[in-house]
Order: sequence, then C-alpha cells, then structure tokens
Amino acid sequence: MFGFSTHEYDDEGFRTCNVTGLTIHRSAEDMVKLYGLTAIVALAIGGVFAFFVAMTRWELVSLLSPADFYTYLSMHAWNLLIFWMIFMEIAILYVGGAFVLGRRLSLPRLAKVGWVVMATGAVVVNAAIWTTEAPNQAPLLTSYVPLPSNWQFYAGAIVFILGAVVAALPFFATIWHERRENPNETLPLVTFGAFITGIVALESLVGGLITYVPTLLWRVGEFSTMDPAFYRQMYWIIGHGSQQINLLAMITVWYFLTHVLGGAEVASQKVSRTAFVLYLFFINLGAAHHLMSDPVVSTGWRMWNTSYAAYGAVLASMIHAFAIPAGLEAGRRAKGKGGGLFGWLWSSPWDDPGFSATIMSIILFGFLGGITGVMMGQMQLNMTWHNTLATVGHFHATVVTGTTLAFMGLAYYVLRLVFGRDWAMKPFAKIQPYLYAGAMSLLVLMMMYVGILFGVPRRHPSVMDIPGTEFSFAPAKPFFVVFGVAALLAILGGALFVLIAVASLLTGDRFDADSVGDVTRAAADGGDAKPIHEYSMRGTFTLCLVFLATFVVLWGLNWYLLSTVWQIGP
Amino acid sequence: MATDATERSEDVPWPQQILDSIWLLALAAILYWVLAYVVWGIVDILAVPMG
Repeated sequence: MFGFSTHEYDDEGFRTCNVTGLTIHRSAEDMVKLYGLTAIVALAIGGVFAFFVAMTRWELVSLLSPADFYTYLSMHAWNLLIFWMIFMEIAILYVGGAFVLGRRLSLPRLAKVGWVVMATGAVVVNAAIWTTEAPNQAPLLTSYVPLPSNWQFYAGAIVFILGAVVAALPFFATIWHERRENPNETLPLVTFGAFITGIVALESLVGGLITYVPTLLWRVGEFSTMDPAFYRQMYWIIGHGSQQINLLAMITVWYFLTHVLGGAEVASQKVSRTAFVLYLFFINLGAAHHLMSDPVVSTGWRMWNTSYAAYGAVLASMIHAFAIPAGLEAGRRAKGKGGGLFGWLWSSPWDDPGFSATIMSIILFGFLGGITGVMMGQMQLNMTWHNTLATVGHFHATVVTGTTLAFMGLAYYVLRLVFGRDWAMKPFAKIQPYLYAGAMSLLVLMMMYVGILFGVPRRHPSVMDIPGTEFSFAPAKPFFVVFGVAALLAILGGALFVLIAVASLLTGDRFDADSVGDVTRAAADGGDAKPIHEYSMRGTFTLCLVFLATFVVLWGLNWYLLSTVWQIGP
Repeated sequence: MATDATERSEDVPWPQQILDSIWLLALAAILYWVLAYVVWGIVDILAVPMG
C-alpha cells in the first residue's frame, strides 16, 4: 500500500519479518500503514495548533485574540488527544492481534470501512470546530451542555466513534478465530494486552455514543432539554476512558518494544497478566474523579469509583512499573549484557530512537504523569489541582511524555519493519526523542508549578489579566518564560519527528536487518536454560525504591500545600 | 479432541484457566463497569428531586 513498502510476500500474502521473526500477512500490514500514517497526519495538524496555543498562553507573545483562542485550543486537543491517539491505537490492535499471532486480519474490508468512517468523522469534527460561530461554543473536549456546540460537531464525533468501533471489530474477530482454532493455547502477552485495550476501548466508545447521540438530538431540536448531570456523568466515560485506551496501548507497546529492541523477557507472565486484568475491571472507573465536586452523584458513588475500585488500577500500574524494567534487566542479564547494579541499562541501545523513546516514556510517564494522576484522583488533593494549569500539566505528562513518546518509538519501528525503510536524517533521528522528551518535561513541570503554587487557571488565553477577578498572577510571569521556550523546543522536536517520518518514507534506504547494531537484542529468545526470574533484578528494585520515595515526598508536599490554603475559622 | 481438552484443563492451574478465559473476563468486567459506574450513577441522578 502507498508504494513505500520494500517487502515481498508469498503466494498466500505472508512474509517473515527478518528482525522480529513475526509472520506478517499483507491484510494486516496494509491496515497498520493506513492507520499509522493517518495518525501522523493528525499529529502534524495538532502540532501546528500547539504552536498557536502555547504562544498565546505565553503572554509575552500573545499570538491569538481571546475570541480565537478556544477554537485553536479545540483543534489542538481533538487532533492530538483523540485523532492521533485512536488512529494509532487501531494500528496497535492490528499489530498486537494479527502480527503477533501470525494470522491474516479477519474481516479486512471492515477495517477499510472503519478507516473511511473514522476519517470522515475526524474531518467533520475539525470543520465544525473551525467554523464555530456564536452562539455556538468551540467544543474543546468537554463541551458541557447546556453550552451549545455546532450540531455538526456532535454528528462528527458520533461518526468517528462508530468508525472506531467498526475498526476494532476485525481485531476482535482475529482473536475469536485464534481462540476457536487454538482453544488450549495461551495468547501471547502482547496480544493479551491488546485485547484488554480493546475491551476498555469498547466501554469508552459505547459511553461516547450514550453521551453524544442524545446531545445531537437535543441540538437539532428533537429533545427540548438535555440533562447536564446525565451529560457530565456519561461524557466522562469517553472523556477519560479514551485516555485509558492510551494508557493500555502504551503499556502494550512498552512490553513489545522493550522485548524487540532491548531483549527484554517477561519476568512473570501471571503477574503481568493479572495487572492487565486489574486494568480491565478498574481503570475505566477512574473517570469518576472528574466528578469529585459534582453535587448530583452521591458521595458513595464518588468514593467507590475513585478510591476502593480505582486503586485496583493503581496497583496494576505499580505492577507494570516494576515488571517492564525487571523484564528488561533480567532479559539483558540473561544475554550477558548486564553487570553491576545498572550495567544492563547503560549497555542498552540508547542511540536507537525507538529504544530511547520507549524508556523515556516509561520513566516520564511514571514520575510526572502517574504520581500526579494518583494524587489528583484523591478527593482532597483534587481541590488544589482542579481546573488549574497543573491539571493540563498532568495530562500532558501522561499523554505526551508518556503515550506520544511510546507511539513515536513504535512509529520508528513501523517505518523500518512495516514499510521496510530505514530512517532518513539519522543523526537527527537519534536526538529527536531526547529533544522532545526533555522540552516536554520542562513544559509539564512549569504547568504543574504555576498551577499548584500560583493557582493559574486552565482554558484561559491570558494569565496576568483575567476579567472579573482581583487575583494577581504576576509572580507566575517568569515561569511562563521557561514555559514558552520549552514549548517552542517541544514543537520543534515534534515537527522533527514528522519530518523524519515523511523523509524516511520518501527517501529512506531499504531497511536491511543486518544493519541493526546488535541482532541478538531482537531475538529475545530467553538466553540460556536458567529461568528468567532467577536473574537478579536488583537494579529495577533500586529504581522502584527511588520512585516510591519520590511518590511519598510529592504526596506529603501536596498535602502540606493543601493545608496552607484550606483554613477554617478566623 | 474433547478428551484432550479435559486432560489439559486438569493439568492447567486454575488461575491460568481464568486468565485464559478472555471472553468471560471481558464480560465480567463490562458487567461490573455497567453496575458500578453507569447504573449506580443513573440511580443517583434520578434520586435528585425535580426543581
């Protein structure tokens, strides 16, 4: 497809990947290319709007008028949080399903129909946002009723969601056929993770239909009113659930890429699978943390869904946070590539952008996104974070320094292993993940800092001048200089990725597996006969202790900050 | 074939059998999500007196 591929297939349409050893069928490979490239187009569009948004919030520049800001912010959010992510996630489902199982993609025509419907929905949503005029509101992501948005926006969102459901069906059909033909075999861990991702996605997408279909009917006049409480509760199923798909897809990619690029093994199949099952049951309930201050739902509902249930998902994250680096450490030690406490880490292929993007995704997601997510999910600490720029910092940490970096790492290998093209502009490809991750980390820290310590609000074009308030945010001004410079560097890093991807497709040399520096790192065959869990994982254990110490310090600090603002009495 | 499956299910530890029952796990998780988040939430909304 697209004429970029260098691969040849046998009479039945299969080929063997000479790096991973996977048996890949053309039906799946073509769809991975189609969905992956569409995702990168959405990334480029969203990245362009990131420039306008960041340069407006940096008031030294003040690029956009207040009237335009929300429209540009909505374009930025929908293209990056939804279209870039979900097109990529469908590609990941096909990799985790058909690729890893060595099967044809079941119902391949449905995969094409799904792409057409998704792409149509994405175009309609973009057009609806761009042409928004009063009294309609640019919808951003929440688009809370009774504030109205274009009816075309709701229609576009419904079409996109339906398209995503249709696109997921070939993945489920592939798994169904695999289980029917091999009922006594256990699915590979990556396929298991992709399956859990698919079910969580299905819940989220159904929530989207429950939300947007009645809202569209209200907007076109079929319903006279739309209950805002019903909207809020149902909306967050997809509003937060769509981000949980990112989380699960990202973790599946972590297992896949650390295995393929770093020679990681799975330290314990049952522990990792149990963690995925915890996600399956509990992760989507975390959506309730958006309704912490909602007067309609009961305290019992809020506490159950955000505490007792959602902590099952937190436990799952802790397990993956140990299991993935532990698998990398044990796998590399088994191959004789790890001495001392961190020798396995230092000897890793850090000049490989797929590897470096993956490892930085793991570290930054954990330290910046994960810890803050758990804190924000707690009813008390949520009060100091809610609707400040710190919240935006949190989800940029999860979705950008976490998921986007992981997906960039995967895309580097899609270019090589699926398109058969080697990376163009190699010196730049090697530094791109570091530039992007470093700048985004600084950006995220500034957002959190000005949000938590100064209470700077989100969703507002200006910081120092907020009509209707007497607050002064002037002390936050110097931090916005750092914010602005970091944003420019991060956008440069993102643009560099798109440029490398396009240049690789158009001018990249044919990828030769022998050119991989260390072929055995891709074999990941388990090393010698010694069971993998018998290798030392003390380096990972040390890293986990550092992580937990950071968690405790930040937790205590946030409680201290809460205590300084919540004073009762004279 | 049925005998093979029976023998195999006797050999495989029950936790692994649960983890291998992917459709059953999916069904249970969806049911739990519907009850804990959706149904309970709608009951709460309906319990609010009309203004």
